Amino acid sequence: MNAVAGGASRFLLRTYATGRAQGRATKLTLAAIAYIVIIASVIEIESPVITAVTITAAFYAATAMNLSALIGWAGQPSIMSAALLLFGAGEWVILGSLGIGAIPSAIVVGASGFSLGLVVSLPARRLTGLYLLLSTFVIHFLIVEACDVAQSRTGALAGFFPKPLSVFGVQLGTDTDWIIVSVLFLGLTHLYLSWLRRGTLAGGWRVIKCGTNIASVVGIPVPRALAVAFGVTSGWTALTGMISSAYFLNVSYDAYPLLMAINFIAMVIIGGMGSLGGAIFGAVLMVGLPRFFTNVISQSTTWASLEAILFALIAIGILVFAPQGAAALFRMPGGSRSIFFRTRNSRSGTRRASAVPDGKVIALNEVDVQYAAGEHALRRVSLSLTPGKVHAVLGQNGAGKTTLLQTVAGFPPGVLAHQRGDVSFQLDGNSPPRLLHSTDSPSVRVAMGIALVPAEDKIFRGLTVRQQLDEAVHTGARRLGTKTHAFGLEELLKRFPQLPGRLDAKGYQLSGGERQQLALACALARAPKVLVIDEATLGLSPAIGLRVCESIRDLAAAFRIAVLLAEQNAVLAERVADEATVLLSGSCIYQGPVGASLTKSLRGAYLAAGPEDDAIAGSARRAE
Amino acid sequence: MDVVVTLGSSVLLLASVYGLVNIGFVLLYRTTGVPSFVQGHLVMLGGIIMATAQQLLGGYLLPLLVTIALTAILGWLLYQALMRFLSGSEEFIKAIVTFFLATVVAEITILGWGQGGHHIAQPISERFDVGRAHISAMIFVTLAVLSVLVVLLYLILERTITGIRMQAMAENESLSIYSGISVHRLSALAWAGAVALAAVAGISYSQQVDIDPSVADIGLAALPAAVFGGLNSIPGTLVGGLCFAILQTGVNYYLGGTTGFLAIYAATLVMLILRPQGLLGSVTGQRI
Amino acid sequence: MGIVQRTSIVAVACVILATQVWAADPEYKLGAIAALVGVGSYTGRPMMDGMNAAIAGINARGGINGKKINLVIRDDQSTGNVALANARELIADKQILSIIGVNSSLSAAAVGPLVESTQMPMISDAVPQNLLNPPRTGIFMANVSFATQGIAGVQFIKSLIEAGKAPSSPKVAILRYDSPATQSWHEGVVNEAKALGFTVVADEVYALTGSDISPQVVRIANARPDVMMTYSLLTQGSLLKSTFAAAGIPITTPQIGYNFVASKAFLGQFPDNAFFAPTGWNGGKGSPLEAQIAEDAKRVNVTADGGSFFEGYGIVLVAKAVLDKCGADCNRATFLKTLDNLTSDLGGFAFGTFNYTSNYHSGFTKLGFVTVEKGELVQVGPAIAVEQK
Repeated sequence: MNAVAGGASRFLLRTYATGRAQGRATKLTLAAIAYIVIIASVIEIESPVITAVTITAAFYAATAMNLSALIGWAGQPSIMSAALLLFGAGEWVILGSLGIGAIPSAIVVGASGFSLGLVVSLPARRLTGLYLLLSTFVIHFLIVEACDVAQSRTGALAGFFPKPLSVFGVQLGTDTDWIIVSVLFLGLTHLYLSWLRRGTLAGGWRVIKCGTNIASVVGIPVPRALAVAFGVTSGWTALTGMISSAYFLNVSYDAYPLLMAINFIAMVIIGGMGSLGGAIFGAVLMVGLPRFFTNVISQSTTWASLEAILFALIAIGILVFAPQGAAALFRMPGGSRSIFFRTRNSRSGTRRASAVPDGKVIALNEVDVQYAAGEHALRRVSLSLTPGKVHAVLGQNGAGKTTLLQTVAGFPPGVLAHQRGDVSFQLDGNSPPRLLHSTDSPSVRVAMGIALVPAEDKIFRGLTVRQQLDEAVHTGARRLGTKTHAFGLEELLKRFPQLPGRLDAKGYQLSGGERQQLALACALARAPKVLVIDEATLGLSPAIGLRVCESIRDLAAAFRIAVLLAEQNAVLAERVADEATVLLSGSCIYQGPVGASLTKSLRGAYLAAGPEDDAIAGSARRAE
Repeated sequence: MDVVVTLGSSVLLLASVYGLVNIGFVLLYRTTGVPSFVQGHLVMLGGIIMATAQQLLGGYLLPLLVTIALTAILGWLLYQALMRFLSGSEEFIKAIVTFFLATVVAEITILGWGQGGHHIAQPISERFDVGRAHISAMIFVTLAVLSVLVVLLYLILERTITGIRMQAMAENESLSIYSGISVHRLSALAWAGAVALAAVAGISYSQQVDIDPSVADIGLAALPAAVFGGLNSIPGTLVGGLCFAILQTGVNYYLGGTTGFLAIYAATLVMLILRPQGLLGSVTGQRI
Repeated sequence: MGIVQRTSIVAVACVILATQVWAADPEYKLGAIAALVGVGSYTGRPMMDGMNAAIAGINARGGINGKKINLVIRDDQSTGNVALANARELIADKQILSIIGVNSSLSAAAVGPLVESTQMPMISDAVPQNLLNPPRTGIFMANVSFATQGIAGVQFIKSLIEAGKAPSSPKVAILRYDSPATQSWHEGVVNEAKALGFTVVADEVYALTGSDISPQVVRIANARPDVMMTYSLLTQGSLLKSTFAAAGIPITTPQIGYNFVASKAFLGQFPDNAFFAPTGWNGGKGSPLEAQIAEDAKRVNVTADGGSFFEGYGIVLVAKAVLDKCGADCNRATFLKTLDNLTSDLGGFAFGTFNYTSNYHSGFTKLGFVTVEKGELVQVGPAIAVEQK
């Protein structure tokens, strides 16, 4: 007997410490044990505060779980949770007063909540992100204000009093009843959502979260999946509202303010979006801590204000430093390093930069880049750029081309990269060389003379061609410090023949080729010394792609700009580049002039050349 | 007739206040891409600062200038100390942060000034008598100020390089940074402007009410107005404000009590479903 | 969940547990619920101040039956829901003899059913009419009922007519915010006006949370009233003034409010002898307890002004009268029994004798009316006898 007990407790301890449980059955058993232990201990303790906190937190956790599923798995933002609780509670007020029993009412509430969710998903078909958030914001107020008006008209200004709940003949009245019911309900919610997560439905949601275009391409019926996501989570939340209203004894519109909905979002954020256990953690924290403060520290209202501020600041802090949630912070191996990275990078040192080799403008020396999530993107790569020459970076997707470009042009906001090795920049023979740190923002580098044309989203969709060119010319003039632009608008337009006819067109109205031209023109207008281009020919036909590459080469030569060009298409790159670096999984496997030896190493790194390459070669031959 | 006049002037004032609240909101949205749910609270804070400044300094013009200066600095600080660290985050996250910021502002106001109402003495107390009703001359001053600000904002956003950069920032932060736009400087500027504009809105609103914590609720009514008129259209947000001022006052008059808000939210939802970009907003080909 | 998270949950639970250590004490324990934040705090905080002042004074003077009073305070945040949770918690603490305070009628309405079903004595100053008539077990109003205030207010119009401030058949306009309290008050006003033959020419309600009352005021202005019955929030004095001015209502029109605006701060915003407020507690200038009240207020660093302050003070005096009679080993049940039959003049703090009977749970027998004159709060005429309705 002792051996069994000893073994069991060792097992429990180990599971607790490592967070891993073997097999689903064990996980379920452990969870069940945990729930039962909580129920039993709270009943035993007989403290009104702990009882109130437990029951409230259980109901709020159930709500937060549903919200976590909606936001975390299906990627749909919603600020409607409080209103859904009110919806369910209000329905029980009506149904209960009509004499309808608990079980049939539960079915009605669940179904109507589901239908409400379906209705809410209608805007979700056309709106995403902010606008979807706004529509849930408006729906929250619609429900709350409707209840307000109903209370006014019926004189129930202090709220409605819902009928008590009777389950299987037992009326729920005492605190003990409620401890059992609320925690069991939470367990049921947990079980249900876990089961849902493993199903195909949730799989579809995850794809939708990545992008609805991808989802429809893959064959997922997006509107239906969205409708079900909203329906299911709304229905269950409404049910939670109904049950909890019988505990709270009062249903009034002012008990479900917007602040409550925001608190639910905070719970989801704190626990980690998509994490069911995290939702429990968030709920316990947000319900329990304020009570702790009130009881232990002070009952004064100054403290109440300070505590509200503290909570808001904590939530803000989490959103700033760990938007994947506190859970992610502790779970991901590289997660906690994000803060670590920030501090470390800011102390990247003020070493004196070694001079860049003669005639070069940029030199990378043994550059190694790791991202906060742990990915090792570049392994000790060196290269240098010469003004007037085009240097191509070749490799498959994920080889590290973009990272290499970003060491020169700067990393995007919000991306944390740890960079070792030197990136030296020297404008010309007379200026001092300068080290570029991974934390130097791209806009600072533009001012220094390094410009980037990204692979996607190269131009501003909402601005006209003229506006974008004007702005870029302005930047260039400021960089050079002269009133006379290095590139006036007219000069630029001469070099990019597709643009003059489209000056007043907005970005989104341009074709792929026109966008590329505009992007290049703007980059050029900024009077760079180094031009970094990511995937110049993405989405362009081979003939146009070739033309674009050749114009790049001509511009480089004409204006003595060093060009760093990342290309997937090896044949195109070979035609326009003077030198090339080939990357494979972050390491450089070839570096040197373009020619026969390059082609040989490319064969090694790539799949065989495809049919488009023949077309390119063909049109190149015709052009000659 | 008297009813029409009094209600009409009330509508005008409400529409102007909505307009002023929304200018700051739209400035922020079209610059940083962040829908700021803290605007209403900043309106209240601005009003309270003005009331305090008036108590300490007396008069109207001097406290007004001091308030605008202080709130502009506050806005600038808000960006530099907080919002700038959200650079690169999703829009949804930034919006949620402003919700929490609203809580902080609300509580700090209560801590510092208590829960009571604060009265701001108006500089002009002339009234025009129309029958037995009176229209305050201040309303016209408010309208004039609003018009000037709107025209100014429009010109800045559409016709200056700075404005173009701001619009670029709102659309695509990453690309803006790669284009050499000083995102942080412009964002801080936008925040300074938005908070100062909120203060002006609060000061205008004080013609009709005392400034107390419930004034912050005006943000919850002004935002739907901006959405209704079109978040990416400056004339649109004004039109939205006017429409809602009329709707709210009218419905309250005829149906009483809180039904005005219900009408506003219903109208906004319908607009979001039928024409999400708003009355005068434009679709930029991007999925909103 | 990560290990840190799980450990944190356990830690939080332990900490909350740790706070539940009570020391057994030779004290009378009472529970207070008040709105300390939110809309209700304008009256909740002064009421809390009054209660704290009274208790400090009692304890300093040796307590009751040799025991001091220990007050457990809970903030209901002006929300009925939170008040319910507070009440639950106070009821679960067996040592607490009674709930006192509850300054918001919404909270009182929300808490009422629970208090009744658990037979917990509650002494509040804001019980809505439907919980007073018929009287409910446990629910006691330490204030004139709202309906009675309305009735008495209309009766006061008679003295205004005698003083020449209103014509003999005055047109009466009513303005109030939406709440159970004002609804009860409204019933009283309307019924008494009919009984006395006064015409009600306008009857307006505005939302508690709204700050724009011009539509309602415009309709009142159209009706050109001679007297106004006004039930507004304590902080809406200047709102009233500016909206009345805009709508063309002369600010000298006599207005009769209700007891919690019986303060220098509020009434002083209006011209002398223009705004009148009823009050059941005689704590102002010249009252027998004037000195004691001032001293107690100083003990807890608060100002003794305003209807709500005196209400709070009075509530504690009621509780003290009960405890005096109940004895050293008073428990909740005996407290309730004693409360139910209480007769006392509370040391002269009430106008007349204060009576609870099992038929009526609101104790006042007389009501005085105050206004501001030359910056001072003065009583207008003798206190009038009221029949609690």
